[in-house]
Amino acid sequence: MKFALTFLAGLLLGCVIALAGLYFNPLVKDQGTGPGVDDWSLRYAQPSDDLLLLTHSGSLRLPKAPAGAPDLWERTLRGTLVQAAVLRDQAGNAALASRISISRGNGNMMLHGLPVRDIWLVTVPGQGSFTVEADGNLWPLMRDHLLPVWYLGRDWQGPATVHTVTGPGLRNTAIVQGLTGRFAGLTGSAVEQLDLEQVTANAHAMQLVGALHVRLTEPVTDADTDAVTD
Amino acid sequence: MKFSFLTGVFAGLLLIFAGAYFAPWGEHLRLPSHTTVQPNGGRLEQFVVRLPADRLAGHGAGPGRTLLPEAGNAELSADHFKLRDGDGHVIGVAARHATAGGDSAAAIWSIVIPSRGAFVLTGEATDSALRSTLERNGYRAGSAWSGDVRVRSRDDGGRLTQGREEFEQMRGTYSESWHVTGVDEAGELRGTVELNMLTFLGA
Repeated sequence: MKFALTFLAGLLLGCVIALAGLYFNPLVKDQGTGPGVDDWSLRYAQPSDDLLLLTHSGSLRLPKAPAGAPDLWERTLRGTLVQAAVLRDQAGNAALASRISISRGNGNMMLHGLPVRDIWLVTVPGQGSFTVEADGNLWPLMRDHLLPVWYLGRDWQGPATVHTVTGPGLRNTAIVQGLTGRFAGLTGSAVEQLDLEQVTANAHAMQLVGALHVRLTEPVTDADTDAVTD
Repeated sequence: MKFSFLTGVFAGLLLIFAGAYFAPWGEHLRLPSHTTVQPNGGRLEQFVVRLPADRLAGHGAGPGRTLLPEAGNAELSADHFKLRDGDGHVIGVAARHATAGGDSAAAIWSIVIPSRGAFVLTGEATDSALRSTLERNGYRAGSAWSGDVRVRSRDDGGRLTQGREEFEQMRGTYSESWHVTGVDEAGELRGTVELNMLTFLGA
């Protein structure tokens, strides 16, 4: 009996050490890349009237917008989030963005944290549309800002800036691909920056300004390659 | 005693780390794909949206909806739906942006099926045709209407323009078909939207 109790005490201690190790896991990539100075910045505030839709499975505890938006409760949609917002650039031009986020199916929290994949569809009225494919890791955001306030009752240390994109493009950037209008045929990269303005334990609320920083480039053609060779 | 304590610590570490490493975090339930192989080659797959049940939100220039003020002269509407397979099971979500207005009318579907991947469809918008067909059949904005209206884009009216994961190596075409059996006072449609996508492997 004494041995069993000692074993259980050891087991408990081992679990606590392992959980602490996971919480402060040094193997998880901490932050994505920040924006460049020349990037085209498209911003949205949350919550605000520009947030047209935010819905998820219902278990995330993020406030939905509008409040009555249907839950994505189906088992096939577990870990999926849909968001739509009006984004505005520095000149005040508006763009419509739809973002579908899914938890990545490659598991392994030890090495990857909480990986998500975001697919953005952005349409600029009168100009055209493009997509942004972004891999990200939400664990640093959860660990440093949300979990301590929402679940451990600590005061929030902010404001803070978080860069969530970790790929799949070069240097921790997302991949931009033009679809229609003036964006047709263009490619590029993007990063997302979240400026957290307020995190409160009450109703798991969070105020932030999100920004998609986009850098578009002309695709490299055979003619360009020939010119360099000559 | 010391041995059993250390064994317990080791077991605890192993339990949590193994759980974190091997547990299927973020895996998505996959239902069988309902595809039909076509006699002339290619694979046909149908996706369905049931209205109004599957609409997550709609903004823009659809029947009864308000125009997005930022759209200017280019009428822009956005819809977000749950997406079903041919058997009616919800398998994914879709965002649809449509611009109306003459030659530049276009619809773009961004579709994510968590267990299979994502793809983008770009094609002709049926919004104006749907609205005028509804009006020809007696629909007036602000009042309820019921009937049976079908509007369909051309078979080759749209293309699969981007694919990821399972859809990465695919090319193909799609058609969009709206079957509307009613509109309520607020402009909410009742009916189904069908996407029929014919895909081929290869660049």
